[in-house]
Amino acid sequence: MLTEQVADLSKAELVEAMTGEGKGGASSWHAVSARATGRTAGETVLRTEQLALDGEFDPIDLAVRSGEVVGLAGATASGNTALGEVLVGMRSPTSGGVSVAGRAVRTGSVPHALDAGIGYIPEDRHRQGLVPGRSVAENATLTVADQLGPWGTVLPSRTREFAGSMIASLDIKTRGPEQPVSGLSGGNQQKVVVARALARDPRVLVALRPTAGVDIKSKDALLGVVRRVADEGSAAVIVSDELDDLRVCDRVLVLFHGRVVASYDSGWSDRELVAAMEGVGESPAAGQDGQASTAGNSGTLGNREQTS
Amino acid sequence: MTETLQPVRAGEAKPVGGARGRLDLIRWSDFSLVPVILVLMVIGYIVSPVFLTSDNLINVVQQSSELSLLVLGQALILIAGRMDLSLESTIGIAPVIAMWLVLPTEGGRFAGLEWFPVWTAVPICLLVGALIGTFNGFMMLKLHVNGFIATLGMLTMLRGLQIGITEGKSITGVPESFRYLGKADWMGIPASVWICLALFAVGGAALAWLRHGRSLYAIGGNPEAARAAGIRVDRITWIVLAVGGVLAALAGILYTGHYGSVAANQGNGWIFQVFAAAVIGGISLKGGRGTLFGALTGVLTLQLVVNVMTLGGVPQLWNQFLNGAIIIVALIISRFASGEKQD
Repeated sequence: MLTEQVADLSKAELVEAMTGEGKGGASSWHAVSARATGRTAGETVLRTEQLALDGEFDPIDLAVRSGEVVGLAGATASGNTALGEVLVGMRSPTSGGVSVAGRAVRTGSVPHALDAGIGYIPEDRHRQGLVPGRSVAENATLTVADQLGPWGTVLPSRTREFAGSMIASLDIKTRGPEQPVSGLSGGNQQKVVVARALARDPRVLVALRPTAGVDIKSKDALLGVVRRVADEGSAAVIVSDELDDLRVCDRVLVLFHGRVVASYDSGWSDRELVAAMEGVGESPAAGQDGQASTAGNSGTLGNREQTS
Repeated sequence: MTETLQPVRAGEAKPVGGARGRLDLIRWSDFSLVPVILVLMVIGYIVSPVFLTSDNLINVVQQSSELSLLVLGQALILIAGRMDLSLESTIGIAPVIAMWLVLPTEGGRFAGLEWFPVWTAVPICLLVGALIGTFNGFMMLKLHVNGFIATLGMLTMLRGLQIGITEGKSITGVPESFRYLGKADWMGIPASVWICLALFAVGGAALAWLRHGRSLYAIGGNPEAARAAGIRVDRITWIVLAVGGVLAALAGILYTGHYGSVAANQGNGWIFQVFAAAVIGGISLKGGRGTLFGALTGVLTLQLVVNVMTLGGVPQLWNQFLNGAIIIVALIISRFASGEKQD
């Protein structure tokens, strides 16, 4: 127990008091600390070429390397959510293509995106993430139903086993794999969604607002998972307007009205990022590598001007 | 993330408790109608000594068999989160079209077209059922018409088509191949009963242990989540609707064989009983919930009630009223027994 003015506490202390646990590297997912280890990003895993969706975002060339977490920041209607949904196949682009590890992925098809190694953590777990009446085991194994038995069968024993390993690995608090997922807390429900996305061992993890509506401890755990996925050699894309979500990223691209208006390496200040997301303020100084990333003018990362 | 994919090693597996874990797997709500059926049988025995004779019981299950095939189809469709009202017309129109295409142009009371040899009657009938289901799927999935009103339109249209083709009369002179399944006895029990039990077993196994079968629950429970998990929602829904049509056509074959002719009002008004049996049996109208075993007990319950009333000497004129009343009461009871709202 701790009785003190909230204002006097640091965030870490507050979290510690709320969750009853020591800090224990709660912020280990921060990009900076990962960078300090001297890890270098690998080859490009996810690449988009002139990917565009009319009315949502302009053609964009994006390259995400293995070991890297890229943030797509932007306010509502900035196009970042639509871009995320196109990447995972939930929506079809009007033009352009997506490739994973050099191989083109059929756009607009979730099964093809899954097969290519794109994992998807949807924005709203109630809308796209979970089937509420079904068990934790079934929800966690929805994406791997083809791997749970021969000839299109789903063996209950293998499902339970698979779900059990997921529950252990993500530390999902549940009475067991058979418990309906609607009986879990918000944070644990979100972990089931993450389990579903990780079940296929994705090469790219695309997460849309992964920590919306979860408690602060689950938030740390979830972002830690995203960081871990990247550290283990996959790539990750986080689409969000939450600064905490974006702190995990090695690189943040800011979208405004469907165009990349800024790009930062880790180490941005809250003010400049929020200003860029709101579309106000000067074109911010680009990331530390000195890359120019003002509107419509960038190298491999930004948009290219399109005559329309 | 490779280590997350490793199955839990035997030593690490949490001691869930084998026996209890397994007990939890059985969903007791699926058996909620079993005591009701037992009570009905006791009442039936008290009401009439005829009730517990094998003739009467076989009669009950035979009469259940055609209805239960419609319930099977409807249950699958409901679990996948859709509905198909036109099943009650498919059971009539599919045999009629098959007869129309194979029966001779003259000689019988009903003039066919004689386009195909007689032995094709059964395959044609099933094909017609599949086509009707496919068309329903086209309207719901491609044109995005509301499934309730679209299939209600199909119900009326197909019934009208049947009356138009048959001029409102029954078709007699049904070929032997078409009658066989409905009137044959296998091991002392009507073939149609065996067929029903086999199909329910196959369906139940598919829902429990097949990838695509299991996905029906996900599709019905939350179609967007199913899609986000890579399930081909539209394709599977479409197939289920076609399967529902085939099952209704098969019910039509059994019914025709049972009574020896294609009745003009074959299946007329059944859809209410189909839904009632499904809902009493624990299938959720909102999708994603229920089992085929429950649906089967729902059918048996309804048929037993009718049988017991008939044996109890309830006047024929009151049958329709009592049928409706029983279903209403059963729905209210099952609503509170399951504790779920059915809105």
